[in-house]
Amino acid sequence: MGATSQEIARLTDIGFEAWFEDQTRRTGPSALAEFRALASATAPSPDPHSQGLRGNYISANEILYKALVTYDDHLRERVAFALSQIYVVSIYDGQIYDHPMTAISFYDMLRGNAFGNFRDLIEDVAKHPGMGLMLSHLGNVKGDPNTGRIPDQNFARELMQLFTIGLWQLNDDGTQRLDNSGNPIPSYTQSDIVGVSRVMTGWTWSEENATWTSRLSFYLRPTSMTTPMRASANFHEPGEKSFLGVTIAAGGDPEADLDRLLDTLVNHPNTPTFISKQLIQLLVTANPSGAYVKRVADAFRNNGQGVRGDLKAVVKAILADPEARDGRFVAQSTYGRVREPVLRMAGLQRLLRATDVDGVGFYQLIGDDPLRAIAQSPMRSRTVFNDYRPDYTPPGSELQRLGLVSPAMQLVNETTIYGWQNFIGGFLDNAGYGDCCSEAQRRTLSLRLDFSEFTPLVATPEALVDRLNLLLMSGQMSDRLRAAVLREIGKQGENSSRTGVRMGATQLKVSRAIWAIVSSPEYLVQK
Amino acid sequence: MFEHIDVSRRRFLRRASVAGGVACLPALWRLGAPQNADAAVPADYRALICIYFSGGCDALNFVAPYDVASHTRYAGYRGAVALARQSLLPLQLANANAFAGRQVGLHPRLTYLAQLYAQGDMAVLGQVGPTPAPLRKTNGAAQTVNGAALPPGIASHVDQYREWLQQKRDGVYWGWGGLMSDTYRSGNGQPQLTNISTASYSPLLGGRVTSQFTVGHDGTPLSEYLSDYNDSNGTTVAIAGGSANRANLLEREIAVTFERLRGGAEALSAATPSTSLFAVQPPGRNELAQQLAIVLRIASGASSTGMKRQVFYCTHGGFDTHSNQLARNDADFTSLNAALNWFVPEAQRLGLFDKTLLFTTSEFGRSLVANGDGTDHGWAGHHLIIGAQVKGGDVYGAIPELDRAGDDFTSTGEMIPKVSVDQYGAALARWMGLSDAQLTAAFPNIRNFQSQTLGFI
Repeated sequence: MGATSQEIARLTDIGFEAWFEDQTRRTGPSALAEFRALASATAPSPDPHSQGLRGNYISANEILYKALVTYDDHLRERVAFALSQIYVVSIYDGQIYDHPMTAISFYDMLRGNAFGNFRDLIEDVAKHPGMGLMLSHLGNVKGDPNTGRIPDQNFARELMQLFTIGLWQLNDDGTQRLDNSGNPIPSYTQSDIVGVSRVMTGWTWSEENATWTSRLSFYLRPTSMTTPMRASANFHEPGEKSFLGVTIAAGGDPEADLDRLLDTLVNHPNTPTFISKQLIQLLVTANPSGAYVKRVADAFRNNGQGVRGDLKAVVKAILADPEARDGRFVAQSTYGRVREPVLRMAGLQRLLRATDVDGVGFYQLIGDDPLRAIAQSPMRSRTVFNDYRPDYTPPGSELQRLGLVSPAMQLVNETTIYGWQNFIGGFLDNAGYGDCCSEAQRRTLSLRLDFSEFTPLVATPEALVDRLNLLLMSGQMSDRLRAAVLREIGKQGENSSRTGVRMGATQLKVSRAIWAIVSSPEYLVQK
Repeated sequence: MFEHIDVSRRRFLRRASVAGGVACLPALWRLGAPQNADAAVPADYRALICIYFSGGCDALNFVAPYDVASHTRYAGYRGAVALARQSLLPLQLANANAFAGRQVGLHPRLTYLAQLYAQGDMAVLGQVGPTPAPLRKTNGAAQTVNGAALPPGIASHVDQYREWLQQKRDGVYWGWGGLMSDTYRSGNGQPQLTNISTASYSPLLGGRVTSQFTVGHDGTPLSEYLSDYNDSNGTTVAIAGGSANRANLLEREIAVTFERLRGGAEALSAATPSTSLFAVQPPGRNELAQQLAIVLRIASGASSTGMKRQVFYCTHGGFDTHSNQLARNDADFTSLNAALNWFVPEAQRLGLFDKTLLFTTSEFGRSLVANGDGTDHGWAGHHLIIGAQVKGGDVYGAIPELDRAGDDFTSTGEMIPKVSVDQYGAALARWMGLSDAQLTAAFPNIRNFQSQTLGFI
């Protein structure tokens, strides 16, 4: 998520094994409870951007940032955020936008499963009402032979394409299997989608009755929004269901049919590779070697105790792998992943110990706007396909020529480069009056940044750059960038920020040094 | 066709003098159509504006069946998702018998588009979708007549997004808008501003040489903070540029983008007039209108920087209507109609309506059979081409027979393309001035089809 001096000291002190075990034991608070507390607060937000609304999509954004920035189980948060990019329930969706409580509940579910078993995760995903809204299998009913109406295929398709096996049959190293003519081989066909769509019928709100006639307004019922859907046999497809070489006999009940489907998908040969490679790309590096993919997928297949799908073992295999930790890999020209805007933002808030002054802090602006903000917000991608695709490669690039990808680069373009530079400059300047003004003035802000770890170092610029290099760039700063940052620290004169708030000259130097670092491609590629 | 000038004045003079005089000109022309990116500098300004319907626009509720027989079948398949026949805005056909008597009508919210069609400024292209060759139906499914493989991932969002907007060569996908612009890019005063997206990444725009330039609704301002740095001491380059010296390829690509931005943004800011250009401001809270507004501003300033050919990319709507389709379509078509009702009069007033072509795309149409209150993913769809240069007021391509057992739908209800995306793209590319050889290079599969231009321009 973003290093802090304390966390580095702790890791160095106890070692990776103990640190990892400690992190996986931590659970953090319930984001849903925090969201509800925020929603029930009565005072309107003083921030004009929130328009006085509470418990809405803005509150959801605040809680998600609060989790990423402040919860003490930050490895769990980091993995849950990665999972939220594979299992997408987006607050951008109209229904979820109106009821973001279900998205926060979904996020809590991902956190709960982050080091659990994949089979539990995928079942919780399939039954969550947020996903039911997102991919419209909530209220999906059996076909009607009289009218020709057929079950909704939305979830059925994405369950296979995005959530478990992927479109193409894979080799163990993550490459596509090819047929004799050199063409990739599909993992499933349209008739498999039809079969799965028939399984995914009969599910609806947990508080609905078996005949779906309760007349409850579910959108006003927090229990239905945040508890697994229930199934009714009355609306479940009664006929046979065939998919991926499996046929479920007619007359099965919805729970048993779903179990059979999910068992089939979890045990499909693609699943360990398909999921492991994406998690590597989301956590460590965009172009992992085939051997790295295989090592992690092996951990998925068997955690060492004969258990398939142990995500704790998978995450550990990803983070402990030589390809994640050995400097020789880091030095390769194809190594790393583009640090996406949400993680940059969360990392900076962690670095500067962001505190919420009035209960509605934590970066409450929705960050979608590419020019005035950062073009990304947690759980707010436009579609179920996340903000970027795992196979995105910049057109015309050397990466493309080499057959390599840079997924999160899909968020980096001419507009968002300037958007980031402008936004983050204002953010650093605005939120951290620090050493300049009265407490009353500072209280007008909802978020405060704390520069006090760094301002004493301004007198020794080399030490300041060393500290920022360690915390923001894992000590990888080039000499050229270092020289540029030092020049900025050495500049004289200006002592007010661009936004007109007077800022002490000392803190301004820290702010500008951080700005220069986080504007650089060296920082923007996490290595 | 616009007048095609094969060589720039400077090149012409140099070649002419080497060859001994202007008498060699006809010989030079016979050398054939220009293949090189730097060979053609057209005289006039032309721009394509792609409007991408995100999520898979339901063709059958966009340009809906209107004749009684078709509409009755459609209503049977669609149930609650069918539009009432009397609510549709019928489109007159130039030849009433062209499609075995089948007729179509626009979605009821598209009143302004119906007017554009009637006045000849809008054409409909029916039953178009990705396919490498003509198709025939066998055992309920479609097959190409020449045995070529069907496009991968039919009915999958990401795959069909790519199949619609890109061409695959040697395992690499290139945007066909990019391949097109590769041929004339260097004739533009600011080549890096040739292909512009108003909507983040677009698969359409990147070619072998051409890259996408992305703008926000307000254009692309320079970084307020970066301007604090003095370029002369190399600070800017050290921080964000210097692509040539970056070993890490992911970093290098960010630096390349930054450098392209530095070059393009200043030129764009200088050349782009403000919104006071407009007689009427674009409707607020209409994202498509906001995108079209920045397109119009850039296009109206283009001549001052020597731009000759541009491709713009905008997106619209949330068309993945698996549920609640009628209400969602209503909202998206209302805003589409309002955006164009603003755009066309402004483009006309600015003298740009005869220099631009709007065309619509979407990853797929949706299934013939409803799933309750929505529809699932399909294949072919119907699309619109709008502009003064369009031979409007008619339907091109095909109007499908609404029968899952017939030739126009698979047995599972996906519309089978009668016109390929390659033909659609090639027709637009020809209007942009590509030669036969360039067309074939950009769209090799058009050789498999009889008509390469479809006749709508």
